[in-house]
Amino acid sequence: MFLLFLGLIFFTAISTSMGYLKIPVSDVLKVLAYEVTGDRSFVSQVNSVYQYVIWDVRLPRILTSLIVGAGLSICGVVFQAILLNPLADPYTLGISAGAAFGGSIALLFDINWFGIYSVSIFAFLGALGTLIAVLGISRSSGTFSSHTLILSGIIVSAILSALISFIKYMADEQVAVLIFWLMGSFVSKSWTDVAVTFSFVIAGFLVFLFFARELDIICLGDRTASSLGIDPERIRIILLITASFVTAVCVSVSGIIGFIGLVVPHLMRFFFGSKSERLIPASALSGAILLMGADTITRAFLPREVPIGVITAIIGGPFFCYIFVKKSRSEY
Amino acid sequence: MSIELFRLDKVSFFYKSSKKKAIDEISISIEKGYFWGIIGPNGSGKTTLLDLLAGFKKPSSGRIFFNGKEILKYKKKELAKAISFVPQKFYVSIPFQVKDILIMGRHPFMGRFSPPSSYDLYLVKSISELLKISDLSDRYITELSGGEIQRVIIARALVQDTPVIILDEPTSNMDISHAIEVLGIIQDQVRKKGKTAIMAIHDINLAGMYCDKLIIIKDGRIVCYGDTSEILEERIIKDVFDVECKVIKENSTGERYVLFKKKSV
Repeated sequence: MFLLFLGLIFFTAISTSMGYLKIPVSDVLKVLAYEVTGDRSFVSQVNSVYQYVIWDVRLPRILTSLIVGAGLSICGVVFQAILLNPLADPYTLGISAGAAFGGSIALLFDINWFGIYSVSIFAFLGALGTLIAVLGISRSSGTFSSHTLILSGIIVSAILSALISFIKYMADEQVAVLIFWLMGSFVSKSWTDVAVTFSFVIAGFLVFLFFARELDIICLGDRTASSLGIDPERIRIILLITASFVTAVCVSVSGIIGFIGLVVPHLMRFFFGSKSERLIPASALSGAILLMGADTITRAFLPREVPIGVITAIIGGPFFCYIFVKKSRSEY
Repeated sequence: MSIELFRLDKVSFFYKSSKKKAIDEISISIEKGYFWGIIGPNGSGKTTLLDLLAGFKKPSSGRIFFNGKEILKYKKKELAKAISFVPQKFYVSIPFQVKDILIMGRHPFMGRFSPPSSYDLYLVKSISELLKISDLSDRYITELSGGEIQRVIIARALVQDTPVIILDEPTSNMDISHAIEVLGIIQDQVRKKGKTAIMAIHDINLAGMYCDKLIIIKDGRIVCYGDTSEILEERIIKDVFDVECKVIKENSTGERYVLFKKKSV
């Protein structure tokens, strides 16, 4: 766990130095020292362009990717446990489809009531609307069990994706923008994005850690959970709403980035076991490293920016296969 | 003089979806310190009755008292320290290690963020040895057989170390050797530690061998209840299960063995 943390810091520094403009790691550290302490002597020998690139362009983007990676990964852990399905991810309940729908509407009708944040805010509202719809449908059947939740998620997602297809069909010229946004990107993220995602993700993280043991216990079934003094329905609702908020914020900032929320918790189970008190911090750290790594690849190595969702799937998929095959072999 | 543990006062329960009462005006007093067995045909209300006793379901009418106080007035955490529960269906899809699941049994006694105490770990260790699952400790629950899983969940409930243990068909997936071993362990907990066990069970023979007292129910009503040696009779089994049988009495121990006869088709 501590190694993961060191890795995170190490890769952040490396990543900041990489890009179209190569900047020595030492200069990165100097700029950081200046911004933190306010002591000008740190940057007396650093090119002022570097200073701008590091502090105003690269760091916000890198930090956003870190935070979103951590956010999606911890939500993955929570959704897998609540839905009792190790193949669930933050998008299983249709949150992504809802966000995509909201964002698409904003893009299609060129809505800019909220300036440059319009698309994000619409995406967020779309995600929340979906959550309310899914919970509503699930509730009508009496209980919030994993079955009813997954089923309502599928229903709502199906309707939404049909609507999104319709919007794409209507969009004509904007369709490229729309598709690019849907596939996810961290281009031109600001410190505001960093602040917003950070506050939601850290709040979610704390709530998840607080209920980590209850989360494990509700995986054993409602009767066992009740006999251990836990109200499974209540815990499910609290964690579901929290995780959906965190997911909605992540999606609204960066678009739909698949795979992280599914693969990271899975991989971490191999190394850290399934207990949430360990799995959640481990997933947060490694998800952060993974998504930042993927973003660095698209930003610094590839000749053109490729949507980050594509990178995560291309790298994550084969890696996941490798681990999966290797693990299966060692067992049988 | 035996002490009353549960008292049910004209308790009924019906599910929203059906008009039939799952439990129909049951009044009974369940005393402390015995191994109670609940037997009855499929759909007779055994699981519902256990759910009511454990406080998972609220009676549609009537009242349930536990240690003299109405069960609905207890806090969930308080009940968790008094009653443990072994469910009939148990399916876990998340790959927890067996030791993780066992320590969850100590949840009601642990602080939110505090690690397990040495006593918690001692209980896990000694009960694993008792149920012979020590060598499963590092295995994943998702890889175990049905019988192994049942032993793990019974161990999980024993780790909770409560005065009352409620079990719903705990031996349904076990071979006869494991079933006898596990029921022996529960009987031992009752006899030596003064606990009370209440178990729904299909196998009338196992009930006759291990349970001190039986509650026989059919269609949500109690047919009769009392000492196993007194009520496990050919006539009652014929009435309740519609099967002819012969009951062999072991008078020295009070155990009963039931030999069933074929039904003509």
